[in-house]
Amino acid sequence: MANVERDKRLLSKQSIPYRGIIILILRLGLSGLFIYASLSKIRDPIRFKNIVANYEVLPYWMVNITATVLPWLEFWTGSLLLIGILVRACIVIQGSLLVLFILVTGLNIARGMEFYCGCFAEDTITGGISYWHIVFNVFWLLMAGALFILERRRFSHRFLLSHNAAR
Amino acid sequence: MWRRVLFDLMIIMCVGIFSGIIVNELRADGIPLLPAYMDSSFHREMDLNAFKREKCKNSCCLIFDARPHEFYEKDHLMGAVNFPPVQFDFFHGLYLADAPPDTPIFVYGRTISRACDRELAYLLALKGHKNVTVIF
Repeated sequence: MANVERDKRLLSKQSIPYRGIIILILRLGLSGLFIYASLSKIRDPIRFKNIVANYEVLPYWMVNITATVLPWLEFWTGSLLLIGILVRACIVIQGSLLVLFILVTGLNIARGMEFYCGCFAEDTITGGISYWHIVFNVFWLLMAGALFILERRRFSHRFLLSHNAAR
Repeated sequence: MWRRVLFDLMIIMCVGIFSGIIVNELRADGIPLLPAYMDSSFHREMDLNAFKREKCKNSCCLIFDARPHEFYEKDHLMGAVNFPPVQFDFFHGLYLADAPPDTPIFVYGRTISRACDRELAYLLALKGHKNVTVIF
């Protein structure tokens, strides 16, 4: 009870206009991005396995495990964020994945590797990889950071349109 | 607060890992979690210096570069031909259709994330080639 009162006081102090709507937009954006990115990887695991190997970062015995688990991690974090369950943990995982993508993309650009990112179904070898992929990921990382700061609750019921939504 | 986030994080990680593994096991086009060619009992292994000595003694051996074509184009051992395991049937018909099973075959081509050499050695062993050596 005391925690609820404390959170209510905390929320009332944060007088960001349209806070709930901003949170909703950020949640929908991030969840849409991760669910969409996961679907093509889940649909074609062999293609994704080759994409993971193209990055030349993981040892060969870890490539298949990563290709099996990573798309589902993306899918679950996207889905849970969409329905507003375990929100902050989802943001932490998504942020970590985005940092990881930025690092490996930057590393491979620096190494002069010729590959394509394979983040989405429409990525092909002709698209290649560029600094725009890093900019894109940094943009979404900032979105995740903003959502982590704005959303302090574990469960975002009622799509956070109300500041007094239940915890 | 961070303890709660960490607990939730563990839950999501477990759900992601288990659902990934279970769906992968159930689907027809699932990938093996650990590649079959991890088992090195299908081939011998030899370092590059030992291979050079062996090559001097045995001039009729075959040397295969198992890496993707673009890697082979950049650099390869003298006398090696490109044999990526992803096109195994095509290249096997091309290079080894009439080769006896005990032909000495040397395979190389390992990168950080691809053990093309081991994969090719494994596939050659399945085709009945008994004298396959991986050069590392």
